[in-house]
Amino acid sequence: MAPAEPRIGVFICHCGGNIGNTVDVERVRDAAGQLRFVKCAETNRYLCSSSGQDLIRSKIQEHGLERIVIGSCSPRMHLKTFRDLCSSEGINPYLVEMANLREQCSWTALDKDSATDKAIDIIAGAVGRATYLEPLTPMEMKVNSNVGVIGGGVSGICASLELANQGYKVFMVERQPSIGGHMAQLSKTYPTLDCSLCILSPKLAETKGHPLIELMTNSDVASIEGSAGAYSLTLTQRPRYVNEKKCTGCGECAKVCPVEVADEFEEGTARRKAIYLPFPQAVPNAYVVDEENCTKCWVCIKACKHGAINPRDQTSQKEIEVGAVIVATGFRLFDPGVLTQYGYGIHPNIVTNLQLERLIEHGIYRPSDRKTPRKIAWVLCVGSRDTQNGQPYCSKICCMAAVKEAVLLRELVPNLETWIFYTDLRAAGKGYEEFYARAKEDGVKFIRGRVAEVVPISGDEVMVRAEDTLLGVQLENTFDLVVLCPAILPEVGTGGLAEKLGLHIGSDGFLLERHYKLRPVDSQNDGVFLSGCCLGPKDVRESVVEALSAASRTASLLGKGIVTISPDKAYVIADRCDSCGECVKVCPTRAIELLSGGATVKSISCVGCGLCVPVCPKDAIDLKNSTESQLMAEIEGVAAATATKPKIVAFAEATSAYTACDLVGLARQQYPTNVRVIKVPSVGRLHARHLLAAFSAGADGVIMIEGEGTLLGEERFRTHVSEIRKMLTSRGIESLRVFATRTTIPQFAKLASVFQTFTERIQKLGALPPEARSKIEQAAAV
Amino acid sequence: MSAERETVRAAMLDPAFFDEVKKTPGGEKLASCIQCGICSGSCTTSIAAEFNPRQVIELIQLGLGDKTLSTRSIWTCVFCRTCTVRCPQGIDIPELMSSLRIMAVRRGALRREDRNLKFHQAFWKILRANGRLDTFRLYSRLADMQEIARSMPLGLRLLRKGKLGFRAPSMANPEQLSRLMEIAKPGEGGPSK
Amino acid sequence: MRFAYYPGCASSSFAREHDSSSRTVSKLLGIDLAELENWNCCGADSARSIDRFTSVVLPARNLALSEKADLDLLVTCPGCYQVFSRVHELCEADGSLKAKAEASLSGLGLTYSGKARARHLLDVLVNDVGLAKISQEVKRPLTSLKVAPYYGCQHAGFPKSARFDDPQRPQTLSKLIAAVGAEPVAFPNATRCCGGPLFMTHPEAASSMTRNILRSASDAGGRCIVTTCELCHFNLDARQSAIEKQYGEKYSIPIVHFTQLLGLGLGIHSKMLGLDRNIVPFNLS
Repeated sequence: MAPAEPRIGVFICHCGGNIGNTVDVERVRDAAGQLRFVKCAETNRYLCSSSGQDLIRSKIQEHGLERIVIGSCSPRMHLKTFRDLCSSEGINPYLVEMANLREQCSWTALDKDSATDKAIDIIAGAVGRATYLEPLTPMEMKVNSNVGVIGGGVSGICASLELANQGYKVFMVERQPSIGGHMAQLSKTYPTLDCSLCILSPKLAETKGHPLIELMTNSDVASIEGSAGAYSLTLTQRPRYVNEKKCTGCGECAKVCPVEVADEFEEGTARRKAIYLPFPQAVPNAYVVDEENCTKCWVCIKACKHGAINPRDQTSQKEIEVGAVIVATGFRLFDPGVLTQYGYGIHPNIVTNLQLERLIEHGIYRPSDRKTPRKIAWVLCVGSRDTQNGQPYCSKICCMAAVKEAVLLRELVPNLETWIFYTDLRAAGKGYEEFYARAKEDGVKFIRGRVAEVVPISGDEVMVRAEDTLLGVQLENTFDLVVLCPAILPEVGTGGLAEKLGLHIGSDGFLLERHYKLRPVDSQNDGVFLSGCCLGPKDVRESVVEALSAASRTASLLGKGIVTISPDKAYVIADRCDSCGECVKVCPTRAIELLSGGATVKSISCVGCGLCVPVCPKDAIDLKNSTESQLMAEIEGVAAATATKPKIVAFAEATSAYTACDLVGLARQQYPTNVRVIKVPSVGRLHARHLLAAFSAGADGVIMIEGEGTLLGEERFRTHVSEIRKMLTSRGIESLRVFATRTTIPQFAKLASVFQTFTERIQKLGALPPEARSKIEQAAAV
Repeated sequence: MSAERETVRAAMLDPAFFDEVKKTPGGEKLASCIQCGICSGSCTTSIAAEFNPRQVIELIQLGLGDKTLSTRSIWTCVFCRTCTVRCPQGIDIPELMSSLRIMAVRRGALRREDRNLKFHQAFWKILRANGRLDTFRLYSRLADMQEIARSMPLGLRLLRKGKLGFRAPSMANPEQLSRLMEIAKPGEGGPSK
Repeated sequence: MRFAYYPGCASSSFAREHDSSSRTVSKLLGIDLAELENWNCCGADSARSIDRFTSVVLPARNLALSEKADLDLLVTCPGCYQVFSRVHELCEADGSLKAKAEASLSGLGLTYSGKARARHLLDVLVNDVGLAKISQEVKRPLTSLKVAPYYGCQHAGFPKSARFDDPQRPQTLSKLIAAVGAEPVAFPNATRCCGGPLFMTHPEAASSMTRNILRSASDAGGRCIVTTCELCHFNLDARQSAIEKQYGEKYSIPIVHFTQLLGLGLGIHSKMLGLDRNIVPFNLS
């Protein structure tokens, strides 16, 4: 609700000619001065400069202004500047409205008259919205400063240590009986040929001994409740059957155990007992019973001199309270058996690269007869870069892993022949290309051609057939060890965990970051951060970089002890709510709860997208800083102020779509001035009534633009748009007058052509007939 | 006489050829080819061709239409489909080869005495006449006197064994095929277009 | 089980023995073959080199005839099998192509709906009749006979809907060989092309490919090679001595149709199986 008599000041900026050369700012100022509640209208060369700000200050004092409209560059530039100015003048910072006259007006127009008319419309919309702005205060909530880290590989370990060393209590949850992940299985790392376990062990030890890290192995996340700053995780811990404190790792139990199975740590190249130590440097350094294969004979109990074995151990549940969660669940390998032409599983000397790492650690031998191999081939891209039978993406690390293994093996085995069959050799990191060069000098052979098939020819030998594409001939060569390099996939259970935590999965199956470039370790859930291979294939270094980033982001969130929550949140108008629950269903972050008194919005979980507002049949829910009054007033202002024909209103989702619109202007791409953009938190915020209001007030065409990958998922976007279309058609608006699309920020050029084509279409259709407009008005009045 | 390896120059590149091939069956996904070589690595007849399948696609991508349509390499495919079953982009190479052959014939890119052209035309002619193929009649249409003379010993052995008959395999009513061809109207941009 | 039998052009001329052995073993194992009335050539590689629609509608006539008899089509040649599978795949993917094929065939009074499917005899023997039944019927186990299974190039490329074996490492022939008591001797080039289809147009390359198979199989210890394809059989058998002369090598490795091998195991006389028609003689002793 607007105050009885809002006192609005309008300031139009020349922007040193960026606006002033195309838009007649004086004419705009004069038009603004005529608008309701505008007490003063001024122009200035550079409003953001100190003299410009001084002008604003003096006018605030002179006219007793209590809300201001700035007609200048995009709010993405200086909104904060002007909000700070207002705060210093005792005006609530949320009472500032910025009208985008540069990126979305002067920079996209050539004709002065029409650009000026457009600017007048934009200012009128801004003034309309400003009339209904409300003072808002960000909320503060005390946070729980504990952190939960899910995943105990190198990424999870580094994130945990980073936070624990800053004083945070960390709960580390690891599914396996020991932390260490895949890095513990590697022989050496590239490009330095550091011994993998040697650089990892100190971290394992540090984790073990750290007073602030509580390690829970053999554990999974059962459920999570709460929101950023206050989560409650329920963990399930599977029984180890061995008391970690009593176990000395002597191994007497394993000696007598009658059950032998494939050893997972050794990737199946060796066997272990049903009671086993995962690997010598395991943390916790205790034996564990493999529940699935143990026959419960308990012969081990007698053998144990420390009484460490407890046959009555049971699954237990534990609840932990944390303020933030870091997901670092890592990867698994694609099953190369799917590509039967590579022969995995039918000959012992056809192995995966992870298996090779284990064979190297045990002195390098060929599985068929345990002799030293003489000729080894690597088959790259097994299941990667394959849209038909595997994954379409590149798994990034296999090229370097193969080169590393080849270099390493040539050092270990004199006169070893090493052949690497690749599609494209990717060596993009620091020192990687140089390492590749060294490999070639060391005598590693490289053949450019994706291997066609691997054919066993004897008990020890296999034949590899590929085209040497650089020569254009088919090559057949025999090897006594063939190493398949399978694609990297997210670890088993990533999908299930994502569902529990409200995380999105990308089209490649990995967890989706909030923004690929600018928020690479943030998830869609404000208190959950992501790091390592759960986000996509990467090597140890990148996993550590992301771990440190995630730790930093966590500390940012929790460090002040409070979280400040932006006030742009949905809120329920209690006396209108009839508990129908429609808003609960549609909320993408599960921020709305249905309690006895009606719907309630958990502000901390609400992300201000506005999807709930149009679905409420009682108009009982609204969105602060994008209220119904504010939106309607802006629409009215933009559509009615000038008589531009035809007039097109484009609703742009605030992050990607609005930014893309700005980039069009930044690139100085022209589009017809008929198009005026209105920012909305999401296209999902819109109801048919908003479009009808636009048409009724003077618009002849409406565009809706949503960003790609927003919380308004693809399906919901489609159904939402079609519902709006249906309603508009029933009110006599031809469907050709409405257009909806999605865009990414880099696709801004496409937007310019969308604006162009749509304007041409509306020009052909002609302006909306006056009868149609009055029909809408009449229907609205009813 | 051209050099062993002529330089490809700008004037020889015709992007319109690539566009055209992209519209024919088998050509739809050509732009996705990453030249990985799995097709040529798998090709069971690759030793027979001047250009292996991967190279044929490269020729097309460059727009070297004349070279593509005149090479014998598009006639060595036996349609085993081993390549396409393994192609990571799902390009239907055998289908592409058929399309290129048809294009080559329609554009007159082959000389009349071209062995491949003669083979398939002879095959088709015999098929139209009898409804079934007679390999030996086909061979006799194709082979020159020297070849026939050389294969006489084998021919006699086959005759003795009853593998070679003077009566050609034939349908009782080969005019059914003629009728079918009339209705189907191939080649005239018939019903398939 | 009953099928419409499609012998194909090869089995009607230079591979007559494959036709006779196929009929004989089928009868014995309870596969009822009704020869398709006036079948036509499937078009092989030539129809599709001349016109696309022809290459669909020509083989489709046979499928339509089969449909008329309300039976599936039994073929003995993997090349024909590949052609019929292609018709099915193309029609399933392109409704208008299928409609045009239907329209053309209805002009002959035939219906093509895609109902009748092609089956290869090897598939029917191993998967429908079954190895258990075959083993039961074996009267004369071919013990200690080392047989190299040669599939030919088409098996690695059957589309998914037509596959009856692993494309990269097929097992059906080996299973059949074992079922008759013989010893399958796998060799690396079992799905590489023998050069048969190229022999008239690319003789040098074809010879090299033929030699490759003969060499490969005999190096692996095969005493004979069993084939699934009439053209492969003819090529490896009839041209074997020419290859031997060209390369100065000796193989003396008889080539046997899979139906002939099966027939021997079932106790059928070699003459009835047409084994006397082999150029490279095959003696069991």
